[in-house]
Amino acid sequence: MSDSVISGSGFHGARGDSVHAGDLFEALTKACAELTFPASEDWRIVHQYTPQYSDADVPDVFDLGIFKVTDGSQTAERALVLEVTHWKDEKNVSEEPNKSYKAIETLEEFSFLGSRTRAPDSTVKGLPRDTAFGDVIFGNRRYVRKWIPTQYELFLDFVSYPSYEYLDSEPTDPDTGIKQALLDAYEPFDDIVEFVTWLKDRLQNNSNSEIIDVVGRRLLERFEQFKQDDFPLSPLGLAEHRARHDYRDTDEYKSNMAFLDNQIASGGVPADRFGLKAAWNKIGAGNADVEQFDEEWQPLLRAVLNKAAEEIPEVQAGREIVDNAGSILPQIRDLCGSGDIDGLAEYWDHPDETQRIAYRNALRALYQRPVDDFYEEPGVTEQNFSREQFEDPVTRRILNQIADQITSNASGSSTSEWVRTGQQLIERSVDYQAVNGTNSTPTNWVLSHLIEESSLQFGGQVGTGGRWYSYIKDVPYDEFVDRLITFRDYEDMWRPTFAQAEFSFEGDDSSVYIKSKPTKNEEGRRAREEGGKGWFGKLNLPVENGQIEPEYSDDEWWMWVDGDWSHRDNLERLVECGWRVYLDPFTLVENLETR
Amino acid sequence: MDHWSEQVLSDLSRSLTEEGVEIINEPPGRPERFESITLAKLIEFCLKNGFVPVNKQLDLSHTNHIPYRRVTQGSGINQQADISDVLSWVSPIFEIERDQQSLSFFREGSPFLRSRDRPDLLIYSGTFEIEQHSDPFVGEHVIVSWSGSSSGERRYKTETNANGPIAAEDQGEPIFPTLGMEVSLSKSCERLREQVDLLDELGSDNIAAILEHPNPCTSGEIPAVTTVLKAEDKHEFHNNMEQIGKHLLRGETHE
Repeated sequence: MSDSVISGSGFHGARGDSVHAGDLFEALTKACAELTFPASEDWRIVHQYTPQYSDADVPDVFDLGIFKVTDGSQTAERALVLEVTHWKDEKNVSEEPNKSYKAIETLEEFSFLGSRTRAPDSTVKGLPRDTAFGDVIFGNRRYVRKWIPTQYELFLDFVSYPSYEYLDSEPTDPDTGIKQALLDAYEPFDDIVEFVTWLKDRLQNNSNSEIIDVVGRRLLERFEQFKQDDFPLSPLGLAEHRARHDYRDTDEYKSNMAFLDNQIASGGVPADRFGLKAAWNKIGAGNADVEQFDEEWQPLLRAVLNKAAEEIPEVQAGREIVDNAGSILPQIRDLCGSGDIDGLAEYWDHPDETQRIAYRNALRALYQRPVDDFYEEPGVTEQNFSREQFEDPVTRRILNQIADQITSNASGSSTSEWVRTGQQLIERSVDYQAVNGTNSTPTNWVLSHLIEESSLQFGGQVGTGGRWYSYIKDVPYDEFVDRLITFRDYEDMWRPTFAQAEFSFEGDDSSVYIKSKPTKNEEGRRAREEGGKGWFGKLNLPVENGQIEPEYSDDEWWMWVDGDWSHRDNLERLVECGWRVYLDPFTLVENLETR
Repeated sequence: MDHWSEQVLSDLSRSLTEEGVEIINEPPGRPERFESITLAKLIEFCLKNGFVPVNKQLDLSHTNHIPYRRVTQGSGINQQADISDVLSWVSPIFEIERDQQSLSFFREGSPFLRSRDRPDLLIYSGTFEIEQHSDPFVGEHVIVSWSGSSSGERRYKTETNANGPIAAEDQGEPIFPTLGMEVSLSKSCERLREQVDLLDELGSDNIAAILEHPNPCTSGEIPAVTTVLKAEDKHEFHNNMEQIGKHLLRGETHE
């Protein structure tokens, strides 16, 4: 029982740990924005700005909205909608492919918003037509695929890299240390708002020259310049957003939207239908048998079960840890409590890869905190975090942090309470991997099975894979080279990176790219991510007769959506990004057969 | 035999009724009751010293606890709260006034605290106005404005992240508590010091603790500005809470 009326035992041991580096970079950006765009000049700075659409209800949130609004007005005279991003805060980095998802989401959010604010019939409350869009990026701009800074710089109206002294591509190294400096500076604060006030005072005072001051003053200057220039807009961004608006008037869009409407009218949204992945999860967890489900789906579920056993052995290993929690968890707690990093490393670096992955996932579950900060360690990436053996100092730093947190999480619990809690945490994590892990793709296995069973020739007209560029490829970049900051050399800026389909169908004049996308509680993010990928494939912006003339590709993008998709707006977003959305796999394969 | 705190709560309930305040939702458990009598006693003390209640009811089940949502793997997505919850999290649970002075009482948090820190009792010398509002820039939200030793406002969205509702906008300066209190039946020195440090960081003018046992810390283990008093029976409780009340009113009491 708690020893206090209110506060639980060990409650304050982890005080302040809910604040992450991302919050602090947003705080620094907000401080600079409040100084450049003061309330005394009728500016409002809104943290976590959510556009209010009259034609859609999508959960898009932008880190900062900067609005010039005279008192009581419902429309801003000027607006800058901003994302705040931090990439690895180190001088030497290698490209992290997984950051592409966030970049695609960001560009898609701006595209969705811009295609509405910049239209004559704007459906966004409060924003003027010349609303500007931007991204403030801290850290090393070479941490991501090269197309990302290139695309941002070409299409967004305001891009700032305050970790760099100069705006051009030299020198290539950023000033580093800002992340740790912000974390240290935040230590005595309990409240981000007060931290912003402190940052503003410090920047106004202008008497310090530590990294926070250096980086903050650069951002101040860049905001000030943008304000002085009266919020100049990117011509390419304008063209792209107009093209997105105009796409909603094409026959292809209308046909795909009618197709979606008909499916929803006849059988409901995916959340109201049979969910393949959910059913498979129940079977995998031992809570259901194949025979309990509709006969139509039983052969598919059997095909999925056969495939799963081959593809994700670490799930079985994880379940064994759950079964043996009574002996393993007290031992882990002791190792953490006594700081026995060598002992923990025996689990962490288990010689058997399957066991290693399972133990790391278990430790990650017991850690109960996001592990993103570990990706800042040299050699550690999101992809290799669960399997690679890192250099000893890196491993020790990670394990020390995990040990401290686990000790804090477990404090005040009896052994039996700790085993019960830990068991539940690990079990939930194992279930998550079984259903959501990157190796777990039951919906693709189903499509594969149906294609094999169809009249289509697998390996002939239909094959696995298929890819298109991750970015809007056909762009008259040479006319806009002055916008470019990070890369100016053609080979560098467009080094090809691709979005992937699971299957593709080669027609005479065009291709069909086919994917499946299950979701659970994250349909908004999925819609942005997949929508962005589709849209960047669909749209090209070539120049004809000196004008940018948008072109929509003749290729088609088909997707079967499974799971908790419950908001029609998210499905409609996929359609306006160029996808033909299927709510069951049978119709998709039938349509492919008759194409 | 009934615990002394039951008798105290009953007496305070009667006494507050005479002052025009009805106590509702009396807590069943002893720890919660101990905190409730502390709160009720301070209010009673102020009312006996010239303050008048703004509210007619003192709801002892009401707190300003903003739920902290643990960040776990795969989360990071903002959650929606009901606007009524946001209103409740940031509204004082009780207010009193005397001449030009107002005191606002908060339990387990305040509009300025959105971390996991939840001091038991915070009293601000000032008024808080809470208003529901909607505009195209913040959407549906709650405006908290305050005036006292400083003034300002914050606009909280109904979307919550790990730290509770998101502060979309803010202006002015925060206001510091005039009294922050730790209330406990049982407290180690270490835990008491953590709470006192927290209240100190919040800039509280007065820091006090009332415990059902003697001060667990020896001299020098907690800042000297802290008043730590014990209440092992109702007489000790009344006497010591009156001392804390005098701190709160800075000696401006009716003897």
